Amino acid sequence: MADLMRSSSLRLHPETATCFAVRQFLVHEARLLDRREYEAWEQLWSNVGRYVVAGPSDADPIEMAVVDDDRAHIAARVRRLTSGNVFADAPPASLSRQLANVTVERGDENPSSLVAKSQFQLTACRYGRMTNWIGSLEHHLDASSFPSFSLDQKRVVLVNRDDPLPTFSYLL
Amino acid sequence: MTFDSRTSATEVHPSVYSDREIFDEEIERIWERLWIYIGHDSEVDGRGDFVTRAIGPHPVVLHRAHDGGIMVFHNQCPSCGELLIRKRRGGLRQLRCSSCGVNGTMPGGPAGPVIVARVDSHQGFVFASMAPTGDSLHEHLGHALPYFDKAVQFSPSGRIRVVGELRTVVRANWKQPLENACEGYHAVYLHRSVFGGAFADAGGEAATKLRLNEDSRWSIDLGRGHAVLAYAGAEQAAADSAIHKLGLDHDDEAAYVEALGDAWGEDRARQILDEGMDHLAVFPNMALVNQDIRTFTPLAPDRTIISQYLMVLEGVPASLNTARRRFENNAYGPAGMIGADDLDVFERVQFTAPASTSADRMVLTRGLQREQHLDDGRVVGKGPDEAAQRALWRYYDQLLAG
Repeated sequence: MADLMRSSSLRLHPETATCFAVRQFLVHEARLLDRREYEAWEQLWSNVGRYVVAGPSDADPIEMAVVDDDRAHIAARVRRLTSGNVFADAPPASLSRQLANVTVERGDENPSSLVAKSQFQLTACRYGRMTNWIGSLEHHLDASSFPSFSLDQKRVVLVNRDDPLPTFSYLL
Repeated sequence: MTFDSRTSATEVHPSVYSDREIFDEEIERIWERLWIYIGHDSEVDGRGDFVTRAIGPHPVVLHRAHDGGIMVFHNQCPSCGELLIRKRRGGLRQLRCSSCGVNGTMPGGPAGPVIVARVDSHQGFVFASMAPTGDSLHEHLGHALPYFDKAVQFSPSGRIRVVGELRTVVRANWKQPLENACEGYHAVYLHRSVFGGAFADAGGEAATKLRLNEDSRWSIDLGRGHAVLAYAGAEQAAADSAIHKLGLDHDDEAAYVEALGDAWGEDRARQILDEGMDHLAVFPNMALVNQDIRTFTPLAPDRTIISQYLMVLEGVPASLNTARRRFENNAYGPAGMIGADDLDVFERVQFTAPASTSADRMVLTRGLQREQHLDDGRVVGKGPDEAAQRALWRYYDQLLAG
């Protein structure tokens, strides 16, 4: 990817280059998750690391989340998913996700932080049952070693967050 | 097949998970008759506050009235039957049916929704019964009462605040999560990805060892379908605290131990800390597991909503509540690292239930020969025994066969 952008025949405006690189990163992440390459996925995270799948919108005063992992718990979750004993994902669900409506903004954390917002759809099929997960994503990226990124934060908000959700043992 | 041949304390025909007729009988004989856990009074702290809940298939509202009293009323327009309140929680000023326009007086008034016949609470845990007469809540809870006391005594003030609501829909019968909440043998096998994977180095091995030692816990039939899986001593509870991530730093722990000692006396404080919170299943719709309140709402024979709530302690170091919240979010719910494997098993049991032949039986005889019958009616088995599961089925059989 870096080579592609540095090649002399392709002169991109810096903002276009940034957006392009962010999109590549998001698609790369999505593919790792669809393929269950969880150890490679964990490598995307910075030391900050917070992975959230939001709970109900009226959760108050302490938010109860579907997932709220700090960096250590992201590592623990990956150890579980790669342990070979995840009975809730055996046989594994077949996964296919799509991203759309991607925008990139400057983040508040520091001069090199970016925030990518997008919408996603994930279809999971297991035991002949299709489950659709639809919602929005927010990726907070550390771009200090652009054109590669590390993930400071990922927040998933499902459209059906206020309804009872089915169980799943893969990652959104 | 008649009902009588389907269940006993030790043998259960799988059709009790999947048969629609049985499900309808349960609504009448269990859900519309017994005391059902509704919510904790701290969830409706302010006057006018409400949360929407259910008694089996019946939607109800837990409400703090303007005079400060707690009430539970049917969430249904008395005139046209429409669901009155659609939000999960909020403040109630006036009730108005959007379909027939009836401007309700407040619950129990002439045009207002019907109040559920009986409401009572213990330590703030509010229960309601649609039966106008019958056993009191204290009679119903019986030997389960001390475990509610213990749950709130983890706060030096004796008060807890219940927050959050996370709901999971599982394609399984409501009795499965109830049996599971106090069952002592599945964890080392089913939750291997957590004990032996995610947290192998952080207490997982100790937790596995604990569970393989049959003397480390008790499986206790508390009567009336209630049961508990209890730690047998300090060493056992401590072996689990590491994996539960409830270890506090030195200063916080010292402050907490001192506060509990001041509140309950040193002996009781030591006992609370040594024993930890047990896994209590309260027939038919709730469980207390560590920091977690869990409720079960039947939608159909093969569909149940499992709701979870977090017990926040009062007057303790903030780090303790943070750890409890972290464990709650990490372990349970739709993607819970522990709970997801249980949920999947419920669905697999449900998958096979309708295909059972009349000769099929689920056998619940683990530890039957060695269980001890106490004078007060409790039956005590060891950790991996099924005394707790037999408790549930014995009472269930009594309720449905009569």
